[in-house]
Amino acid sequence: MGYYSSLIQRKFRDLVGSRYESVRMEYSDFLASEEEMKIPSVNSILMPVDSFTEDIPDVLMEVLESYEARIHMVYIIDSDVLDLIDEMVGEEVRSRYREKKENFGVEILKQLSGRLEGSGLRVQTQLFTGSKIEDVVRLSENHDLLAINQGYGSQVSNNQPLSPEVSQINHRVRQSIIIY
Amino acid sequence: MNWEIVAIIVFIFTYFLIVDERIHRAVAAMVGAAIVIFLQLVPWDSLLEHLDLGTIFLLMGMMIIVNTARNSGLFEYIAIRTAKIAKGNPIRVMILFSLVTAVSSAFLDNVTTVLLLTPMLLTIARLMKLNPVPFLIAEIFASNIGGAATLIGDPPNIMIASAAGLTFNEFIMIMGPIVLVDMGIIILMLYLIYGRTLKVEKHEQEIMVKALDSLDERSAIQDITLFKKSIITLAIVIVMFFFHSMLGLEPAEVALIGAAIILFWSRESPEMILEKIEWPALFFFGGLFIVVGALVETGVIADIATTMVGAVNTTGEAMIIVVWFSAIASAIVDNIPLTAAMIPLIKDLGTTMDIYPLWWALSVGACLGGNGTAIGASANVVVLGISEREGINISFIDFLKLGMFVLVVTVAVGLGMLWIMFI
Repeated sequence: MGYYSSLIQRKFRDLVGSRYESVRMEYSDFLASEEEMKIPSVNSILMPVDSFTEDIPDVLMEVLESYEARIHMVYIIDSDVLDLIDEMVGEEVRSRYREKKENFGVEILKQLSGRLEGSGLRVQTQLFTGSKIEDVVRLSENHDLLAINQGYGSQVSNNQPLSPEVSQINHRVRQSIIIY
Repeated sequence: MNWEIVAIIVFIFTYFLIVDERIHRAVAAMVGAAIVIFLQLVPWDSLLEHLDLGTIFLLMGMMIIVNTARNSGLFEYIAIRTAKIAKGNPIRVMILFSLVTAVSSAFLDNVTTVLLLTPMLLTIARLMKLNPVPFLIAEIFASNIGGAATLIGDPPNIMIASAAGLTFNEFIMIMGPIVLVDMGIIILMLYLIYGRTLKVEKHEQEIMVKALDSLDERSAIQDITLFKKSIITLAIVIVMFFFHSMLGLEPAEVALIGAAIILFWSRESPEMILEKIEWPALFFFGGLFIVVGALVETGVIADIATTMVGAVNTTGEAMIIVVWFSAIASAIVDNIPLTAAMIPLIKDLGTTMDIYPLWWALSVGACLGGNGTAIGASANVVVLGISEREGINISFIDFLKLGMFVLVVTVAVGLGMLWIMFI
């Protein structure tokens, strides 16, 4: 430490005493620290959607915009449901159900990705048949963040604000998760 | 023994210790005072004459008021409101914070003002991802210039007012216009120097506005009742300062009355508040007054005054010398010890010329001269000290280049305006 620097620190200490520490403490109650203000590096976000995902809230849009990351939006047709239909009412109904779900999936992906792209975000969409939980957990390994609707997979209620699928995913993924 | 030489040696030794600050400035001043008392250069009978109780009690009263108000979160509230009003525009941040700093410094002590505003300013600069140096420099200049506007704004003014019997309104009428013009010039100058670099992307500005909007200034208020009482008491005290001569009260009496009002009304623990009085600062002033008193008692000040009277023919010439000498010397030795030494000198000049303009010359020089170097005034040291602790280094030379330019411009403007008023 040079003479100038130590002189300033000596004069500062004599003038202010311990007051600066108490001012810092007071400010820390309502000001984020430099570390807290840093936006973590997020390059890709996995965003599973389904028929329970009606819209993307504005608050989530702001968060996604702040990251400027690539968004991987997936629509998964539940293979368990398809198998159940196949067993109970036959393959023809399964095919009709699957086709209906595919059309719906394409539509919702188009609608939601269009909204994101309208805000300048890069979006990749994907539709496939699989497990709504296992495939999300698997895919999340290749992303930095997961954004998922609280009602993904099942209907929710006031008493149960998180669907069982979201609860399970939340417990199993290692990445940070935004539940909206 | 030549006591004049002894008094000069003790004075220079004490001032060197104060500038170097290897030992606490209060201790340095008390050591100097102890030496001159031991040598009986200042006899006990005249000790109280040299101890300027007007200055010491005014500082003490204002410390009690400000420390009580601080507990309410008033200053943090002001800092957050200012940041929100600036809406993430860097130029607006710089100008608004400069104005808030100048106004706060005019009515409260500069150290408290910059101590409470600097952390907020650093946070905003980080949010904007901008170099915080322009904002910090602007804050220092604004604090020193704003403090010059009133009797209670800067310690040199308190000392000058107490010694010369000047009123609060005289300071507002004479120093107020000078400060307004100087503030305008400095804001324009900083805009021209830093304006191009203080730009943020629209997208970043939006993020910053959101981050600032998420701050709740009401959460900074720790005690809403105390917050309201602090504002009312400060308002009462400021109004009383405006009318103190009509009320027949000295400024120090107004400050002590204000301190009594806020202590009685707030019901804050007096032990806790009185503990926060900056006793080292008060002992620093006390010691300085006695060390300078030794120069008066031994005739050193009278000799310098006689020499000066022989060298200058008019009050105008004396004004020019006082302004520039006090400005340059303030930048080197800190404006408080400089003012302590200049006051008896100007008093001595009173036997041969009209010294009323010289008090204002001293105020202009001492207050605005503090901008010259990094150690010229307390506000500089506090802001630069905080900056260093936060990893932002402003070198002595970098500060000097800008500081000296500001010193020359603001003091020249101040001198010009005093010349128009008095000569």
